[in-house]
Amino acid sequence: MTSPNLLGMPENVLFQILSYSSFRSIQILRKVCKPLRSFIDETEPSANLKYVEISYFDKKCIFNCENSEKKGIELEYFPKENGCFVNHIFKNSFLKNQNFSDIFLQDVHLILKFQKSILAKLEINWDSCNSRILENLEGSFKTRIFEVQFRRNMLEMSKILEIVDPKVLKSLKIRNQDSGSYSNLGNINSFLDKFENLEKLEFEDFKVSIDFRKIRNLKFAKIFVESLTLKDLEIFKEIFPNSRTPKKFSIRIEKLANIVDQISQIFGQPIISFGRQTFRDYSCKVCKPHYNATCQGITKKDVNSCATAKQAKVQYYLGMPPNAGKDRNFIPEGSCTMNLKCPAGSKMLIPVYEIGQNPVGWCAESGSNAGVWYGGNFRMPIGMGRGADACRHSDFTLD
Amino acid sequence: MSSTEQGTSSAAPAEPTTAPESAAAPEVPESFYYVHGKDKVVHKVSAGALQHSALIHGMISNLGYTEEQAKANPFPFENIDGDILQMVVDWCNQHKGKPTPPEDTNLPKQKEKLFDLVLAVNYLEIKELLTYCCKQVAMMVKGKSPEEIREIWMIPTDAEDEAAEKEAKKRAGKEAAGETAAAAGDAK
Repeated sequence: MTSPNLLGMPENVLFQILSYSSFRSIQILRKVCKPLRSFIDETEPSANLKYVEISYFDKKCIFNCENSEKKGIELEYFPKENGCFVNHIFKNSFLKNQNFSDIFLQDVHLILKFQKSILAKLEINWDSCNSRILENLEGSFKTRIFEVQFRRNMLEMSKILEIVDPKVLKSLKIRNQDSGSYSNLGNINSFLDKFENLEKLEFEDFKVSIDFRKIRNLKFAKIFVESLTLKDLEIFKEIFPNSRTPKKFSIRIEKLANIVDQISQIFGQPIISFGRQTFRDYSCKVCKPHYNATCQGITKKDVNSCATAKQAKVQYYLGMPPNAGKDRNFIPEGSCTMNLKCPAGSKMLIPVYEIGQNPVGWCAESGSNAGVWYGGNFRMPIGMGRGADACRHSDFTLD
Repeated sequence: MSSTEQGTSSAAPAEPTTAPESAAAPEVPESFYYVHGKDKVVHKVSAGALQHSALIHGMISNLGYTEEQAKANPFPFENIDGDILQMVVDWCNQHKGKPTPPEDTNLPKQKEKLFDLVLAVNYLEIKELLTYCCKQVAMMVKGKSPEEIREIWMIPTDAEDEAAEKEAKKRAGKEAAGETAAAAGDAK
C-alpha cells in the first residue's frame, strides 16, 4: 500500500484536484509545504473569483473576494508603529518594518495571478489620495461590472478607472461618498471613448459634463448635468428615434430655465406632469393642479380611497371653461379653472359648489390670492381643503 | 468490440455464458477479458465494462484476441493491489454502457484506499472515475488548516524537510569524509 502522500500524486491528478478546490483551499494548500507551493505557483490553477471589493479608508486597506458559491476571503491591512498589521478572520499578523501598502499590493497581485476568468463585479471604495496603490494596480482587473465610490476629483477617478480592462467592462457606476453633495466631476468625454463595450453608465451624486453623442451606444444611462443646451436636445432627438440600442436614459438637469421656452421648438407641445397626474395642455402658470394626485381609485371596502383625476374627468383651463355657468361671472378674469364629475360611489365632501355647476373650482393667476384654489359661490368662497381636493368614497368623513 | 448487451451477465458465474453463434441474432455476443493485480486473482470483465479504461480499451482493440487467447493471457497489473483492482472492476461493471452520474458517493472513505485508487485509476485512464476521486480529495482538503492537511497526508513541514535534508547531506558529507580519510589511510 502506498503512503497517502499528496505529493506522491502524478502531476495531472494533482492539477485536477486543484481544479476542484476553492480559491481558499488552494491558498491553504500553498502553505502546506514548499513543493506544493511551487507546484501551485507554476500551474496557477484558476481562482474563479466572481466578486472583488477593495476599500481604502481611515488608512486601512480591505480586500474582500468571493467565488460563485459566495465563499471568499476578507483581509485587512493597516499601518502600525514600525510595521503593519494584516488581519484575517482567524489570524492577525504583525509584520515588522513592512509597509502596509506594499504587503497589500503583493497579496492582491498574488490573488490576481490565479484569477483567470472575468470577474462579475468589482467594487472600489476609495476614501484617500493614495495614488501609489492605484498606479500599481493599473490594468489588473477584468470585470463586467465596476462600481466605484469615492469623493475626490476627475484625476483620481481616471486613476481608479485605469485599474480595469476597459475592453470587457459592461457596466460602470460611479457614486459620490458624500451623498447629496453633487460635486462636479467635470468633463467625462475622454474616458468614455476607452470603454467601447460599455452598456450601462450611472453617476450618483456627481455632476458631469458630457457630449451626449458619446453615450449613444449605451443601453442604460443615469447622468446628472448642470444644464442642457438646445444642441444636446437635438442630439437626443437624433439618437432616440433612430436607434434601438438605448433602453432607458435618465438625465437629471440642475438648471433647465435657459432652454425651457425653446424645448417646444424642437419637440413640439409638451405634456406637463405634476406627480402622478398628467394633463395635456395644462397652461396655468401660477396655479398648480389642485386635484389630489395620490388618489388610486375608489375601492368599495376602503373608505379612505378616492377617485383618480382621470376617473373624475378632471380638466383644467386657463380662463373660463367652455359652457361656463352664467352665475360664475364673479370669478376673476384670467383665472385657472377646474371641472370634474365624481364617479358613482364617490363625492366631494364639502359641497363648496353645486355639483354640475361649471366650473367647479377656480384659482387666480395674479393678485393677492394668486395660486389659491377656491370653490363655492361669490359671496362665500371656500378654500378647497382636504374635503374638496378629490372625489372620495361616499362613506368618507373628515376626522 | 463494443457490446450492447443488457448488462445482467456482469454478475454471471465464472463459466462464460455460451452465446449461440447465430448470424441472424442482431446482438453481438459479449466478449470477455481477464485482468489480475498484484495478488494474481484473475477478474473476468466484459469488453463493454472495460471501455471505461482508455488504457485497456486501447490494448484490446489492438490485440484482437479470441476468447481462448484472452483467457490464457490475463492482463497483468502488478502495480495495482488486488482489492483496489476489485474496486475498479466493480465500478466498471456498475457503470457499463451507462451515462455516469455527476457524483459518486461510493468511493472509499479511507484516505489510503482512495489514494491507491486514484493512482490505479489514473494509470488505467478511467476518466470519469478519476474525476470523482479528485473531487473527493478536494473535498477532504476543504476547510482544513495547513497543519491538518500535513497531518492527514503525511507531509513533512518545510522545517522538518530541511532538517531531514541537512541530516542526509551531513551523513553524505561524513561518509565522503570517511571515505577520503580511509583513502588517505590506504595511501599511507
